[in-house]
Amino acid sequence: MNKPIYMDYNATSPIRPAVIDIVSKTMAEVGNPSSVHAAGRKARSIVEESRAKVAALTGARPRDIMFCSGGTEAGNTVIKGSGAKSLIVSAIEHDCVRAPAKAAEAAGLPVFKLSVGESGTVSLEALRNLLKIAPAPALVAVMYANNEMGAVQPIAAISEIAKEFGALVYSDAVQAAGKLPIDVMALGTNYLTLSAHKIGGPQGIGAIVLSPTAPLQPHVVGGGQELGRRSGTENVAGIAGFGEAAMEALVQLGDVERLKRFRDRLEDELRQHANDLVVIGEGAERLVNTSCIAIPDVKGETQVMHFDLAGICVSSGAACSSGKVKVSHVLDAMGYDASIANSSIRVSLGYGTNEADIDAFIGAWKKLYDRTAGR
Amino acid sequence: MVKTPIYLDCQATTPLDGLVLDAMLPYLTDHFGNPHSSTHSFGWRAEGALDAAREQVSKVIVASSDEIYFTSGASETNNMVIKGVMELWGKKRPKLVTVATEHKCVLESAFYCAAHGYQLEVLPVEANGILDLDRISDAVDDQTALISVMAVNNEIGVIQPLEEIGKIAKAKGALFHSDAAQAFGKIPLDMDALKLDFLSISGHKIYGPKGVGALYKRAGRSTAMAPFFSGGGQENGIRSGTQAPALVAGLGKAAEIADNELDCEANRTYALANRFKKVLFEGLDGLLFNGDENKRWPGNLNLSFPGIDGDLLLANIRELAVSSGAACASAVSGPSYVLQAIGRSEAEAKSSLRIGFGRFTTEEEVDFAAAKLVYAVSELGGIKP
Repeated sequence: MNKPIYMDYNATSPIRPAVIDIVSKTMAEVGNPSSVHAAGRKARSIVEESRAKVAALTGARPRDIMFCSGGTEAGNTVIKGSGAKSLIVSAIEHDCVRAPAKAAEAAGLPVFKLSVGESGTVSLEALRNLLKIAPAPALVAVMYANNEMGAVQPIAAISEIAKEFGALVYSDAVQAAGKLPIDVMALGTNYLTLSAHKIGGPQGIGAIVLSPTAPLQPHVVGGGQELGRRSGTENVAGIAGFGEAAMEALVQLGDVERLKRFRDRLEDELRQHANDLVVIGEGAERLVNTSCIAIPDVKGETQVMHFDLAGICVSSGAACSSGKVKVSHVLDAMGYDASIANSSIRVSLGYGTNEADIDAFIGAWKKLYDRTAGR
Repeated sequence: MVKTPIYLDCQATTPLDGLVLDAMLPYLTDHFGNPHSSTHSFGWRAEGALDAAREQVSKVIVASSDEIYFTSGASETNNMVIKGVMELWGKKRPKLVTVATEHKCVLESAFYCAAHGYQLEVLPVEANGILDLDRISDAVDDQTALISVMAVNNEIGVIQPLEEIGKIAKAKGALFHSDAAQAFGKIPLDMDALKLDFLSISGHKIYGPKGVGALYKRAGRSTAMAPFFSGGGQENGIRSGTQAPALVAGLGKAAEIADNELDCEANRTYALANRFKKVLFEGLDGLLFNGDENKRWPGNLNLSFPGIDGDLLLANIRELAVSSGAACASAVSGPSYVLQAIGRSEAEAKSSLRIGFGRFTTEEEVDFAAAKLVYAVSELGGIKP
């Protein structure tokens, strides 16, 4: 049997070969970066070199990069640790932002939901209205690009409005990294979070990119690593892999045209075949690699199973919740009812995707459509 | 001739076992999937790595695999247990009891709880570094939600009487947690026999990778805790976030090896430590041994060289990678609080070294290190008690 075709890059990306080399090489080195002997200092220098690389990906100063175990820890840490007096959270955030926001609300913090339009983009006017009523300083949490349907959010404009009200801005850039240029100075964020395994790095490592003045209460306390912001022995090999992946992600920005061509061809051909195709977030600027598509009234699980049999890996939503049967909060927020929301799949492309993969997907999709739709 | 520098800092971190790296590599390469992707085989493969590692880890501590939760390391696990238990149970039972010689991440988590309105009692230890049972028995009452006592101390290696503390905890209805970062895979730990409800485990202290650890959490409602990271609901909802199958597979393999080698490695380490001690104590009058001489993990030796400046001594033994205390960013300067807790003066604490032997330490290395250390101390004018 042929190797399965992987089209689920938003869940996790295959690790890039250069990253694997660096991770396994670093694994073989002993040394705790906090130790003062030569082995420790070597480990420390690996951590600091990688910090500079992640800083380069985001336009930040190296000292403003805080490593942690991944995007979820990063999101939890920002939501719990900014010290803001209220939260304004977009309706389409990842669960790692929504869940701690909900917990904060239960503990008494005012939390406001920032709605999105049907294209999946937040409304700046709604933001302004919320900022008028939210106790200051508020923390505004809007992801840079959505993981399920790819809508890109106007972060720079959001920051500009937020600054008028003295609010802090947090953007989850886990999906945007490597697909959109990130410059924290231009975006104006106080917190921006990253995950290595979404950009061809290893799982188990991520970062918060802080602005020089951003307040942050540590979530993991102890030995005082990461300038006291995150205790625990650093995952040196993971950090080394993250640094390498960050460099590759910068290079990958040159590959977005290719991915966009693939994605657009895929959607165009499906549209030509089926006039009831729904492309979620079609009206928004979207990540070039992401396509969230629905065949009305054909269950997402049925579609995913069909693709699995055809040797194509796609998902029916975010990976963390893909085991559960519930309507996506993202599609719900965009106003789709269950007949569409439960009938959508997510196709996400990446550096390993080629023309033949797209052909295979289109072929399999048409077969599925002809067998199931309109009955 | 031995190759230098000689790594003798196995409490800070251990070298990765080659077998562990072999177990990890498939999950960095072909089986790269997100273990929570339930819709395709890449996800299932990766999830399989988590299941296998849960088995391997649980076996070491005689627990059930569904009582193991993976984290980014022992610091996270300790934060998670202490804050998560107090957050959930602290309203009914507001008291937290721990010990002065705990790792920073336990103490800082405890201080966090105290700052959030819970009662905290930090117990002193005896001169041998071990907790007095009457003292803990007096401290724990029906208002105590949680007792946290580490199994093996990271600085001085002493083993706390967990079995007896477990009995006290149960008698008073308190939950019992132990930070076993330095003990897991080194000394036998049986969760039922020790009556432990929570145990913290680290990968990189047992020749596994950094960035991964585990929590043992006894099954049942009485051990419920608030989640530390919330989000996608992974790890049964108490620890959200995409798991790292490569790291977890590494922890599992490291646990399996440690379990298989437990007795043999303990004996070997004991012999190495004795060999080293003999040269040191014969060569240096006035040398002080920190912590109980018998109730200890032999791979940890902590010695005070009164009259010798620890940093200067370190600078004179560049061939040896040893430490003057815990490898934590905040502990780099200043005398060890653990040594002060066992009654060492500030000057004595500053004159101390921690020497850690491990799986890959050889007799030749031990002989070289011992001779080098005796020579360096003599060169610096010798011990002045």
